[in-house]
Amino acid sequence: MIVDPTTSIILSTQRYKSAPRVDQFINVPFAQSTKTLTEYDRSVDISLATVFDEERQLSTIFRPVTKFAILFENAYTGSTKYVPFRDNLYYTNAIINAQDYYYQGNTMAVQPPATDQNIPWDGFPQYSEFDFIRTDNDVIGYTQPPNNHVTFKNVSATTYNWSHYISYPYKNNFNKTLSAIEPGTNIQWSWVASSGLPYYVLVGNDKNTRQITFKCPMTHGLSVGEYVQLSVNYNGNQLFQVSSLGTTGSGSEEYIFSISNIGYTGNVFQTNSKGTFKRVINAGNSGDTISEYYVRQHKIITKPECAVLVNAGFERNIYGNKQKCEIKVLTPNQKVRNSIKEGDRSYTLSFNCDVDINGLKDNQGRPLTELFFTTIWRGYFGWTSVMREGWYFNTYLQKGKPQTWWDTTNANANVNISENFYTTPSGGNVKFYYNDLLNTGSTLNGDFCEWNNFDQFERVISTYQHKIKYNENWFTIKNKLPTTNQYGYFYQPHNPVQIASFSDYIEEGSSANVVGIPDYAYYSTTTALFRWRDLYPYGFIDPNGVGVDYPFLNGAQYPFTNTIFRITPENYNIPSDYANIGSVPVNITTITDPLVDECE
Amino acid sequence: MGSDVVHNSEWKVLPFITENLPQSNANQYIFFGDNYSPFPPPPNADDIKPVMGLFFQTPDQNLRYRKIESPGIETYSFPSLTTPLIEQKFGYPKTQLVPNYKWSLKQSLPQVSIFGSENNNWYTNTIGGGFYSKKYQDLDFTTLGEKYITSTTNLGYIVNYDINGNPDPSITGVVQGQPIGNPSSQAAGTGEQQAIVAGAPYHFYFGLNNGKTAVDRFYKLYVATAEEI
Repeated sequence: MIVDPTTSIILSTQRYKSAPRVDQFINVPFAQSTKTLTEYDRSVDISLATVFDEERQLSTIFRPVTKFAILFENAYTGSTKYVPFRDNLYYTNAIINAQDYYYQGNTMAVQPPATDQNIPWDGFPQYSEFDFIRTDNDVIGYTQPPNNHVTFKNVSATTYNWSHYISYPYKNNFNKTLSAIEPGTNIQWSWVASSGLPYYVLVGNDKNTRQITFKCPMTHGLSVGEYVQLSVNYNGNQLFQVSSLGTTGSGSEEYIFSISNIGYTGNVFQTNSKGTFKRVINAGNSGDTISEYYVRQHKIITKPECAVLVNAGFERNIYGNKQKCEIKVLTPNQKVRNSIKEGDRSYTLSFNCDVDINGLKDNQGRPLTELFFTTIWRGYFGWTSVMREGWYFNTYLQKGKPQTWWDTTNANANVNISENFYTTPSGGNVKFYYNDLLNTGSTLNGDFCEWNNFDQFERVISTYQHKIKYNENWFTIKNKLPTTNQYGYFYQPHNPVQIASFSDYIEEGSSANVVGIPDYAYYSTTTALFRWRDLYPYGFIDPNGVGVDYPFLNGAQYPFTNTIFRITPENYNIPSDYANIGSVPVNITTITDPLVDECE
Repeated sequence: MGSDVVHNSEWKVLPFITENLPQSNANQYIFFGDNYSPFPPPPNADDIKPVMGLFFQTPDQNLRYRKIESPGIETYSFPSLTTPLIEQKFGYPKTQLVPNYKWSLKQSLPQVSIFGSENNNWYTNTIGGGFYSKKYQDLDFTTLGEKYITSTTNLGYIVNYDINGNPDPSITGVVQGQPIGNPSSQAAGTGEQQAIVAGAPYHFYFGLNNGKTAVDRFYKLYVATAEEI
């Protein structure tokens, strides 16, 4: 047997740490030069497990599946006069509304009662406006003629409210402008992602303490002994070693770090001064060990019609279905019905199109180890408009109000999704807005991340968030916030499913003495060595539990994950327990269901 | 039959004790007079008979409870100057059909008050055609001619109302006259409207312990579930 001299043969155990031993040679008997082919010889010589594993490792076809458990709290009661919306609310002030609307009363004796169509009704949009699969396909005057808002098509039941895709992070945006606040203070930052993480000096040199303490509005990711490269300098020095983390508060070590105060003067470290910093692992090799900060960008790789969304069996979340019977005389259209405030159903999302990752690289140029279920608010029924984007640190309230980041005048919060509209006969010329479907190749922003070449590790600093808020033309929330920056709901569009794993150790070596250095390895000009993490094969899980093992069938990989999809209110405009009736009229508790109602 | 006995047996009627009377004007809740009140008896009258009565009052909330029990109406908005009446009738389709008959007060001279007199002058015979059948929880005191509604009685209570339907808890009000007279001598239809169904379905007063009647159990289970009764 002749071996190509350019080919190096390495032991299978050297492929990665803990790699299993595998025979590399075929044992050929020397007893004779020919061998008679005997029956079953083929099945004896070929290992089914080996063939399965070979096919599995080579397969780039994925059919990801997830089960969505939706957690949603209907938090904003508002009012509307638009008849299709008005007649389908979960009423929160029905008695007062009925008194105004039926100004001459509403009894059995006088039918039909006189009405004042200019009276708005108060309530929550029902859960069907947020549900993954709409089931209100038979509501006359809303989803069915006459005088309906939308003529419901059952085939679109899963795409009226949300659309689902598979995406992957394909590059980094270092120039994204970000903004954050320190809750409870007037401190606010606006910075470019590549600048690092924002901080302010919690305890400065003016306090004459032994340490200068910094606080970040997001997790800093530092360890004691590492360094920070500040955006400001003290006598030309920007690197400072972290001496401790946190204060006395639990969990504060993730947000607070300190450096030793060796007698700094001036106002660089003045209390409440602020700036940005980057993490540096080794001050002696800051070029290789300094972190990069960026916003991941995702590319959509499935069409909207590929998503298959079905009920997840009989699973329901623990919070239950919150519904009530709307009493006939307390509705504007004199129809008794059940109205649902919050639902509890879970859904399974799969795709009827193969996801082929062949040739795809992630945002660090590495093989894909994660795909993302990207769920986008569609809002076809037109309750909302002008969806915004931000990050988790933007979800904190700024003195009880939404951060200025979310204002519709802030172009940095615009989503890369086109908004469309339609009108209805009963709505006149006022538009109902909805988000267009995305196609393969569409790109979206993603999480705010940190990457360190020395660590070969990407850390998600803050998750990407979308904010949806009501269109004030059709549904008015009762509070004093400006219409350009109202309360809304947040959701996380990208939810990962792991399809492969990098090793939890780092390989380092030169091309001279290491074979098989992957093309994604980082080359350090300082040390003249490559650094990388091995890619574990499918089905291998190391002693630390790192690795993936999921079904492989008929040439396709079937990764699965459970996803909790939260639609989180930014705040509330009603007392959460309804007991304390505040400025917003809510009197749910005063409406008693009759002993016998037509909802039963 | 005495209305005091009836009322004291009814659900939501507080016992007539000192603690339950508004102290500022407690005397206004007790009527002391005679069979000539509010006019003075004629000189040398020898048929003066003392009459004492009690004024009860009820809030709208209690009225709402009574309408829930019969005929099954949930009231969401009581009429006032600013709010209209909004109510939902749900009814009791399975309530039992029972016989009913009506009562009226025979007129006694010189005056008659809603408190009645010592003559036990409640009258029933063929008023409204004698016995008639009606579902027990379908009795409706809001319908004219059905139950309690007359020009001076209303809302399921034998109480005093003026001709406008407003409560009239005054000494002069008690003799506004209704129900009066022999119903058979009234103009057609009038007598029937003066006659009432007494009792059903709001009170049982035949020997059961106070608060432990079937009506009390019904209230507790279905009508005022959150309240102590």
